[in-house]
Amino acid sequence: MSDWGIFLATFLAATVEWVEAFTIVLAVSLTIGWARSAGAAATALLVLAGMTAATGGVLRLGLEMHWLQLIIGVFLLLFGVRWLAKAVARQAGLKAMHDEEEEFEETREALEKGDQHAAWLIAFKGVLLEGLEVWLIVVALGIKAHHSATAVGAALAALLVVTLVGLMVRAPLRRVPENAIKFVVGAMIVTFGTFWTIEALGGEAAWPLGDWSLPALVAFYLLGGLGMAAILRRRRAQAALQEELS
Amino acid sequence: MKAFFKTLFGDWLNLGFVTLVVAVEAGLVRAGYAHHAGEVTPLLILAGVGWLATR
Repeated sequence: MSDWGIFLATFLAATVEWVEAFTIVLAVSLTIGWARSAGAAATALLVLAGMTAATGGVLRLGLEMHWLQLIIGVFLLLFGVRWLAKAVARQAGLKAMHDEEEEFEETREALEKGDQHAAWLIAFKGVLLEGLEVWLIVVALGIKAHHSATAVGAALAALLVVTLVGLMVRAPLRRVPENAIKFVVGAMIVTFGTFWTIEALGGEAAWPLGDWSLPALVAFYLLGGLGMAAILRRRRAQAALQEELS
Repeated sequence: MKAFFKTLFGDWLNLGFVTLVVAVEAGLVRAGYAHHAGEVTPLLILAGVGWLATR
């Protein structure tokens, strides 16, 4: 798999997660100030960096490549299927689009009831939980192809971009086309998961086209997901019409 | 801990569906149809994505 494939998948996934984390940190900063909320975020990022380094080392120890490939492929499927299903549900109107403004207000309301210590914890937990998904992708995509530096670099680049843009606008970043990004990342992650689990179980012969199967799979999941969303949207509209008539 | 589990595995439906996908892949490979796994699995996954989207 190319460096660019890993970079793009990690960068896009990390951007979505960092935007959500930034919204929480921004809301907390209004209660306890920028310095303390940034401190909470930095602490969570340090924990994530430690986890990334430790997990990478542990996974490389004593596991044969096909087992490692299978485990990582399963985790990518777990993650990618969830993202793609969520993107399809939002596209079809079955689930509300993620609203950073709403998330911001909810966090602010929660903070009004708590003390300063609770506010610090909210920022820490928010960055840690959103960052866990980034950690998962960085470890999974970085290990298999021995491209850890590319995956880590992409996650850090996304963090830098989101932080700089966030600090410039000092408002929830609601113009990020989150669902479109979720669609693309979901398709890419499911593709890697499909490819690696089958290759781990059946060997390289399972994919006669080799790595060329990857772009075909991405296109299949992307177009298939969009088609699925269109079908679900039409069904929903028909059900609503029938309910109105009866 | 609950949030950590959710991040790693999603919900039970997601976990169950991915388990099914891997079981189907393993079944096809064991039965000697490894080259068909790459055709069947994407279709199965897409159908599952559609189903999970309505849950």
